[in-house]
Amino acid sequence: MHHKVAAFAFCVAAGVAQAADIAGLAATCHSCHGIDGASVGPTMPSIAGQNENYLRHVMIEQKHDQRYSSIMGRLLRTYSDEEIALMARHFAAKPWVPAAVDADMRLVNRGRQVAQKTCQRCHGATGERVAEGTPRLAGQWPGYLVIESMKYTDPTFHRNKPSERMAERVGNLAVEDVQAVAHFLGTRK
Amino acid sequence: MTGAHMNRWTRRSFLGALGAGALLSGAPMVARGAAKGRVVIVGGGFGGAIAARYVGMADPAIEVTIIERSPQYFTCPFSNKVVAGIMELDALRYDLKAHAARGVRVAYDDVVAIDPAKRSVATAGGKQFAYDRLILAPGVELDYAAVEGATAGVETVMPHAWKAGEQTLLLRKQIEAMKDGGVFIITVPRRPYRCPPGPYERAALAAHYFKRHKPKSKVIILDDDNTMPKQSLFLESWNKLYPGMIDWVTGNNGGKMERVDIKRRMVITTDADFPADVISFVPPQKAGAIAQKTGLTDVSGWCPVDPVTLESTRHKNIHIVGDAAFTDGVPKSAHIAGAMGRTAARAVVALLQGKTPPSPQYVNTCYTLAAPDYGFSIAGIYEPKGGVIAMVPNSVTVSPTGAPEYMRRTEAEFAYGWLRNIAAEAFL
Ligand SMILES: Cc1cc2nc3c(=O)[nH]c(=O)nc-3n(C[C@H](O)[C@H](O)[C@H](O)COP(=O)(O)OP(=O)(O)OC[C@H]3O[C@@H](n4cnc5c(N)ncnc54)[C@H](O)[C@@H]3O)c2cc1C
Ligand code: HEC
Ligand code: HEC
Repeated sequence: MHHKVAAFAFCVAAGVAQAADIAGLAATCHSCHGIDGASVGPTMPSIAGQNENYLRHVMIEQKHDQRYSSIMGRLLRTYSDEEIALMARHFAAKPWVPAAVDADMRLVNRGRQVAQKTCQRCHGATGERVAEGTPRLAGQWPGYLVIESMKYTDPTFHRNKPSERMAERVGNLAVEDVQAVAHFLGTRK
Repeated sequence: MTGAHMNRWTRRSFLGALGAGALLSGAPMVARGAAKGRVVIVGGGFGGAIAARYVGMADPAIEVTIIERSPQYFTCPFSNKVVAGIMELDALRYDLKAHAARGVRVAYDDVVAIDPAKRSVATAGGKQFAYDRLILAPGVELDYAAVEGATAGVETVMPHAWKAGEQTLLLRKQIEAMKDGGVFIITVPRRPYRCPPGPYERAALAAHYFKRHKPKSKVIILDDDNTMPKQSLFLESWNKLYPGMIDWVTGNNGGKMERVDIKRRMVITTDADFPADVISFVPPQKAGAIAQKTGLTDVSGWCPVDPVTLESTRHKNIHIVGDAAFTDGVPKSAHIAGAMGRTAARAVVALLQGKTPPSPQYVNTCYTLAAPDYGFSIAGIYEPKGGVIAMVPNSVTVSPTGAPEYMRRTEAEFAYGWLRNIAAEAFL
């Protein structure tokens, strides 16, 4: 009996510690992703208000080196998949703050055309659509969207392309089109 | 309106009505009925400013005062780019105005004494500030006394540029005035010092400048130690970008600095004399002078702390944040200063509310630029363990060597994104 109580108390304590800890763990992300995950840019992605599913699977793939990352996989390697899932939930619940970028109409118009032709089917007309595993792109920092898209176009880069579907669509775009579509999507709200 | 918001609003408008003069007077606040405690923060750099931010977010009813000697702050991160003439110093300028606008009391003054028994702080301007909890984040003091020949004014001849601002511009000017075929020396002091990869980054970015403008020039690193952080990455980048240009003289090979000669503009090491056209003489370092004066340092020259709360083990109610803290193997970086700022904030708020401070995690990251489009990084995680702040096993990693050009270029771009976000966390 005594034993059981002790074990029960331990579980509760651990549960509480973990719940309290997620805010603490999540705060370690702020210096790169912004307070509460709302990045001030220009290359660091906002993760506040992003699709929880996307946040979780991206981080788990990064941690297990199934997806290319320059630093995230290394930062995450000592966290459990469960802690990662809790952080995904934590940030998904924060308000989405659209990137503060002034729209350049020339780029916006070119980008809109590229988006209609190449991205809309999966990401929606302005990158607003969030399906099961796809991220919100509308209002994400253009600098980040360019970097991510270049994974699919850069000839020196061939490790762990995360999505075949993306590779097919984005892989053939000219650099100017990537920049334009990133600008168009990033300046949507 | 919630109670918390109301408190905050009331206090801010009250301060607004008082005006700046009253703000700086340091007189006890008349309308402090709602305040749950007074936190005074000394030093408004990365550590102090981030601490202030998180105290305010956690409990707006706590009265926060920042005392900072300088009305403007230039970030050291990216200042090596200014030295190399590829960025302007103004792009690195921040201040505490956003804190003041949120209701933090900001006093631009020099703290000259701390009385741990009376829990009060005295400034050069003759003000007194009482506190319940003090967060001390004064950064480093450059220990010129430790090097023979480093007499008064040495930094005007051999700029350290280890605190960004005038010094950064002076070093840049000297490098720009140097003749092609000249020699530039940077000294690496005994560990621990602020920003372990910083000297090697400076060497690389200086080489970047020379390669474009004065290709016959040389860079010599005089190192107290025999290894450097991110060593294989630095060596790989130098070979690739600046072959034959950078000489790294390790401690065992005569790099240990013993003396400087200001008149002859040279560094004298255990083995040889090293004359040069431009010298960035980075001296050994210890905790900011006010920490030493208050008796917060031990023989190491740094401030021993409790690993969970960062409270000084020498004086109660004083929490040490940033470079000034003695933290075993944890690197002295802006990223860690921020992690400590958040930790001290959470601890102070918990203690003022009568709760138990949570156990923190300290995450470090440090980006380095070997060229404007060539970046790499180190990351590591540290936790309280056995009374110290210990590395989490397997958590310290660096970017891979032999990486594709895409990775180096995008890490340089992420480095800038990091700077913008950590500076916003601290100052905006
Ligand atoms: C060349 C260089 C490059 C760097 N690059 C990076 C990098 O890329 N990434 C990274 O993470 N870190 C980097 N760093 C390290 C980083 O700058 C420091 O670790 C960081 O600034 C430490 O923060 P701090 O709050 O402890 O001290 P500081 O930022 O120095 O702040 C201390 C503040 O306290 C004030 N102060 C001191 N004494 C008093 C007093 N008595 N009264 C009132 N005010 C006082 C000072 O004026 C100052 O504003 C670099 C450093 C250098 C030199
Ligand atoms: C040192 C800076 C840094 C820190 C600290 C950091 N990140 Fe990241 N994060 C990045 C970078 C850079 C990327 C882009 C992928 C890459 O190259 O690693 C990224 C990408 C991400 C992504 C993918 C976003 C998208 O839209 O594709 C998620 C999710 C993420 N980080 C979550 C986190 C969480 C949660 C933490 C805290 C545990 C964290 N990050 C800490 C730098 C950082
Ligand atoms: C056929 C469907 C499809 C099309 C078309 C498509 N995407 Fe995607 N996109 C996806 C899916 C699925 C993901 C999630 C991939 C993952 O997480 O592994 C994704 C993810 C992304 C991401 C997140 C980063 C990453 O690492 O993958 C970006 C940025 C992106 N898409 C941009 C675009 C742009 C820009 C276009 C048009 C030029 C486009 N996508 C067209 C399906 C598509």
